[in-house]
Amino acid sequence: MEQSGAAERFEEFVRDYGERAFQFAYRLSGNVEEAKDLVQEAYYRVLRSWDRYDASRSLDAWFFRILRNVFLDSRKRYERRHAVSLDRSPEGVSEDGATYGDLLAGDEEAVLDALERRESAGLVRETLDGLSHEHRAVLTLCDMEGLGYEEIARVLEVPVGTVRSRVSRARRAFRRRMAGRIGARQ
Amino acid sequence: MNCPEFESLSAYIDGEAAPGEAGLVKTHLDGCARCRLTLRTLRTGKASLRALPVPAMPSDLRAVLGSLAPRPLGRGAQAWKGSAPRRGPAATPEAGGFWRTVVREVRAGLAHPVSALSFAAVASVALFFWARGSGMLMPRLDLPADLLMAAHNQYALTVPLAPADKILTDLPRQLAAAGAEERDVY
Repeated sequence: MEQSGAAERFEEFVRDYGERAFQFAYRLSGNVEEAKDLVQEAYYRVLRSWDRYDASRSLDAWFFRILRNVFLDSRKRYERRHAVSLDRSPEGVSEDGATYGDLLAGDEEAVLDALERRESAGLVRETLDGLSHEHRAVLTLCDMEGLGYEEIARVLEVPVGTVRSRVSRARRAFRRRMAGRIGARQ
Repeated sequence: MNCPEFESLSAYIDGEAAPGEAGLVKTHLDGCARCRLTLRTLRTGKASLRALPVPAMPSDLRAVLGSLAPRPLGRGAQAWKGSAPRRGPAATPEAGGFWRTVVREVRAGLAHPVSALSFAAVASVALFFWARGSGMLMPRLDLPADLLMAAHNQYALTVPLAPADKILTDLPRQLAAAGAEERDVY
């Protein structure tokens, strides 16, 4: 029957994407409970818009876009409720790479040394959490999910050139923030 | 020495630099220790993000997502009626009239055993109210059937069956542990 077929397709979708969805949500939020909420909300949105999904387009891109939008919406709700901006930048420094230069060689070595240490995971996580939502999302898609620029462009619905520059700025911001956290001389 | 833009190095480590651009970067790296350091930091940062630990998907989330799957009948099933992802524009109504469509849909619905049982249940309820209205059953009520149904709906929608503190947030998991599903108890 058609309805039981739809149920099977959805169960298959949960099986195939559930784990990845949770990993992506966790990488964005850094928090198990928030990741669970994000995934549930994303699946509710999938249910509501399943009829509008165009099967000729990438299911990955469609679903990750939903997840990312759920994440950004949750951040906006938090900011509205608490009258704060969660878009944290290093103090006095914009995360727009055009407004500040790159690291000095000594700082670069310090960052590399910190990254190569076995116990760097906590520092990496803290640094990532301190980035803006957009920078965190693009690094999650590129470095953690391993998506190519074209796929990221489909998820974010921006040109490939925008992805390329956004990834670059996110990495600048990541390096600057890490250098600041490890107290490197700037 | 003209070092390439940071964005070029960033795209290079992702394998997203244009062919000519990649060749220039590669040639430049042979003679520039500073850029080699930057490249190494970028690659290590990318690998560190990729290696960030992610917990396994919690089992209660898996259960919740599984419970979202559409059922042949019951709550939420109407949203899934005939809903595969569309592969093109929505189908236009079949020529030949509204009633032919209704009869076809009813026949298709009654072909399913659960649909047939539900139709029988609804028909029985309708017959009951008709019988009461005609005085065949006692006690006789003077209220019209649709008013009774509306009152029942209002009660069901506005009066909770259980106090808020009795509502189980992990109901699907507990039912699954007892070997039951939501459709067994709804």
